[in-house]
Amino acid sequence: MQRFSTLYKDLLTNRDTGSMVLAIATFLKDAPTEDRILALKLLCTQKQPALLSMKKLMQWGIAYKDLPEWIIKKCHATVGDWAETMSLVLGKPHVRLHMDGLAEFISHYHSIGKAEEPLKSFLHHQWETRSPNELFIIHKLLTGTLKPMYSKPQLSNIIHKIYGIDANLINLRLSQQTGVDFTFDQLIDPVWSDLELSTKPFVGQRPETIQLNLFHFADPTEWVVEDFIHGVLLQVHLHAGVVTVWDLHNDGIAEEWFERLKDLKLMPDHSVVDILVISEASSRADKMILIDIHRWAGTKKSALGSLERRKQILQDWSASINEPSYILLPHLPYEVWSQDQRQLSSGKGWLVKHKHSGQTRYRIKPPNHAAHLQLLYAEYLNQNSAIEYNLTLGARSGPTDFIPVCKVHSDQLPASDKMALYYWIQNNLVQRFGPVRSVRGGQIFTITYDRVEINNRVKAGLQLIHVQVIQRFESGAKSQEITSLENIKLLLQDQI
Amino acid sequence: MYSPDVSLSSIMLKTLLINTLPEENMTDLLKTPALLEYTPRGLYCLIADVYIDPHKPVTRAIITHGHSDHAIVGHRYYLCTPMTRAIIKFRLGSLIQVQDVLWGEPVYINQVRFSFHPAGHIPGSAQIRVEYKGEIWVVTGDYKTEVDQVSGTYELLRCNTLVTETTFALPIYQWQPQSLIVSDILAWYQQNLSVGRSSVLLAYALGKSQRLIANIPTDIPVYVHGSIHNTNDVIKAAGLKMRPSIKVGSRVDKKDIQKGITIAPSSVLNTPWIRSLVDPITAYISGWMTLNNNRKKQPADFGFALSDHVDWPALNEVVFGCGADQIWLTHGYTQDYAQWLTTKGLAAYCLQEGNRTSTIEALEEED
Repeated sequence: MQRFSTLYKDLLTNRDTGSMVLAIATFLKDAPTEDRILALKLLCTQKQPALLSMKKLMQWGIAYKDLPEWIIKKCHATVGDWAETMSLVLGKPHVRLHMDGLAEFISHYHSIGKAEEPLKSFLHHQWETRSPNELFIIHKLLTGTLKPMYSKPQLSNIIHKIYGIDANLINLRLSQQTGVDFTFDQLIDPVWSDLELSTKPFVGQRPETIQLNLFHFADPTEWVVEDFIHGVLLQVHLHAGVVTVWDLHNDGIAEEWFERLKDLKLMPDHSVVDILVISEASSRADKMILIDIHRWAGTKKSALGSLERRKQILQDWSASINEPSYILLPHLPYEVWSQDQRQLSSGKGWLVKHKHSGQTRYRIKPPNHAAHLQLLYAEYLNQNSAIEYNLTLGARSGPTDFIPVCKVHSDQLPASDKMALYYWIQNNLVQRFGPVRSVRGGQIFTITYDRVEINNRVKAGLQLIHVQVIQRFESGAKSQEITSLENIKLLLQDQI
Repeated sequence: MYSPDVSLSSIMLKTLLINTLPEENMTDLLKTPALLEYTPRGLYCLIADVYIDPHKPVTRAIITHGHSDHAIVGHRYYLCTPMTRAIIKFRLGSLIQVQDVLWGEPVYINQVRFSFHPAGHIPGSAQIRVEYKGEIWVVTGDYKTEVDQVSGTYELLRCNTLVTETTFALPIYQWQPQSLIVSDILAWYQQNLSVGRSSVLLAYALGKSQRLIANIPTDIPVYVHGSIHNTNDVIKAAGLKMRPSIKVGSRVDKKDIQKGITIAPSSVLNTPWIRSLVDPITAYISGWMTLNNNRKKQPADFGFALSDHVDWPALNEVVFGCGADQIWLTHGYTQDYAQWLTTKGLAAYCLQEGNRTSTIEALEEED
């Protein structure tokens, strides 16, 4: 108790982080084995059930010490905490001989239960023999008010600093996500136990474990778009030379993929790798795409270090590439990945990288539909660049009539096209005033869109979703080349 | 008007103090039953026309100890123990007129007998025993009953009226023995040493620092801030034996400081002085560090609850052991302790500016 009470007070009152870590390290080094794990649990989240109300503790303490209630209340007003107040009033400051264990003490008072008389005599004995520091902890434990000082990830980081064990693994174990109650030695064991592997810390099927050696990836800079993916999404957990493969969609993992995974180059321990396996149905069959690596933190994945760090890891891997059948995606934000999972599970889509964007971004998209639409209105944005417009494009609804079906931003066009479009709009304005200006016909764009949705609030009765401008036609295109509204409606009917 | 020379002998000065008593005070003497009275300038003995630890400039001041809230500059004559004399001459300037009195030696001022007795607070700290026509008052000043190695041993004096400090007069303040605190400090130092950090104790330059220096084992080098070093020199010159300490300066290798314990006043925090040390870690030494909240609020990294004041059990021992039938209270939790003593059947009064009667009435109303 003395050790834990000293540790708790040190952590509660000291301001130096290094010393706090040192205090925990000293405790873990000196304390009895059974106290270590219990102390760690008490320091993060585990609360002890209250056997006694603070009011009753105060009443018993006042009666024991023979002090008037007003002076205890005055003391509380000074201290600000009842457990501390009573410990200072009742404790024996010169005592420092108790070296009984925390676990031993807790099991002792739990055996007493909530019966008043035994509990009172137990407390009297404590008050006669304990120092204020110890009584502070005892009062907190008995009244169930011992507040956790750290979150589990914080404590995991501290243990990581002391023992060098991966903080993520410690966090998993402290959170009991592995479903196993640990001793302290098991907590700081860097290797997953059989019992842990037999439980389900992660989603998916029961894992199958294989030993891996090396894996090679294709040059990521070459890769832009993979079309028509039909894949199996795997999650690979690597720890201490052992790789556990999870089939997230329960589609079953082909034997050949296990063979391939055997060549996977080991990553830092406890990382999670999302791998997309492209099936034979694809034109580029037999490719494994490393989507991203994460750390597993509690119930969701988190980034493995900074973006720069992750890039560095992936670049290190890509340095050993000599087999072009594997593809490496340097970074895919997990949120985007989650959004795309539904689409991915449908089996078909596009994996798109914005090659010219500053950020390395990927999307898994459904197969696109293309259309040729005519520019109807140009909305001058008057923002940073004078040549930027919101373009309203229309489909053909008759020999000469056009109905707006979507809006796109001119920023999607190349710079040369944007400038040419700017001059064209200046020379072909029908309505010169107001932000939305109608233009003459003649500008036709090729666009792609993911799907069509019904929208009764617009004239066309439908709208195109995720429109992207692919190309601007040269002027002089014929109106017959423009997609008709009927054709788009047919697509809508197909979708329904 | 006579201006006494500092070289006058103590006997001559005693005579002067008595003779300069204003005549009108002699008549008041017959009317006033209280030997001491609390005035806006401080605790006042009307019969002797002398103040004890006045907090505004007066003609004659008896000083219990050298801390700045008890010994201020501006009095015409000071009367104190030899150690306090050396301290206040160092702190207030060598030109002040100070007379020293040995422990227990009586000083008569207009038939009032004053004597100085050890208070155990800091080096030279004294209680003032005031006796007149068989009535005895004791003004404790600041004091503690635990024996350290530098402040002398507190002497319990029997009296009719006790004027005591109540800085820590609540049951929550019960000090751990000095030996335990020192062992904690040494364990903390060893821990810092093992990770290559400089241990810096932040303590008041007069009293606490000397107490710490005296209690640190001689095999551990002690480094001190300049202000503490200078105070140590004064105290040593006044006759107190102290273990050697090294002044932190440009000639001292900072790596050597890392291996010892450094003592400095708390004002060094966030200054270039402390930043010049190798990876310093600080601990504040004060009785206020008993409470977790105080520890958290103070700017140092650690806190150790070591106090030079009397704690709750010792205060009660003194109050109930001195035989006084009335207790005057000053500093700290005066109201609460007065209420406590009232429940125990003692007459207790809080010293506040204004007349004493109103305070008593206020307490009675509370009861």
